[in-house]
Amino acid sequence: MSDTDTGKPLDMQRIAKTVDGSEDLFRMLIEHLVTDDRDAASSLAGALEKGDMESVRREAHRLKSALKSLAADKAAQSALALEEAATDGNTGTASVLVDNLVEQIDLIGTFYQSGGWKQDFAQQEDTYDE
Amino acid sequence: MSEKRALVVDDHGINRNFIKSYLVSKGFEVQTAENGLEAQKIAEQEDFVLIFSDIEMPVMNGLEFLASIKKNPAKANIPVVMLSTVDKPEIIDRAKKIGAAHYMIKPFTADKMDETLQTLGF
Repeated sequence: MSDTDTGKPLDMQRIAKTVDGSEDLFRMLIEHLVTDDRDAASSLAGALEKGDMESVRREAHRLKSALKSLAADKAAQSALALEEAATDGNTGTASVLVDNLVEQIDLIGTFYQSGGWKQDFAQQEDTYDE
Repeated sequence: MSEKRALVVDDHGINRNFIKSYLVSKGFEVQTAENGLEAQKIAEQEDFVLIFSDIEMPVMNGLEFLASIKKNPAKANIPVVMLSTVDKPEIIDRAKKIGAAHYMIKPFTADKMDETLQTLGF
């Protein structure tokens, strides 16, 4: 069962394997997400107000790519939905999806701040050792 | 200085940092760029044995960057690995026709990176 099935915003088993068990790399990537990318996602509301759907589409695509790398599947699905809404020029749907994407990133930030992921890394290290 | 120098091109810091960290762990010295134009300027001035490039990027996309590398006789032999979240056959075919050595679908994993380096003889 993946971690996303257990309610965690990241598939911890996958991301721990992706970063080869490096907590330092994990921290660097997540901190980039919850600072720079969180700001970028929230600024999309301004682009929507200006009707700049191409900027929204491009940024949603960029975020989707990074979220996939982080095994943040639910957030990546939100970014994909936003990318598609922007491609279709559906401003109303895109507006809701921007809020949803920011909310998903905030959930990842809360999970990271809680430190609950450290246990997942420890378990992963045990698996490597076996 | 390391003899294995790689260039990583992606418009997202998370992806750049992941690939850079992986390659550094394999003994590469790594330079990064945020788009194709920036990468093109770096590639003209420095020598690399391997390039990883995203496809969809602002300013100059990855396929345009790939084409510029392949048109330069001094750089054309550098293997270029194209990265994308899109696995559309027409885009993969286009990248390979231009001269991509390999095509990797995101998300990255250490296993995919291992396989890519092995395929390319590193």
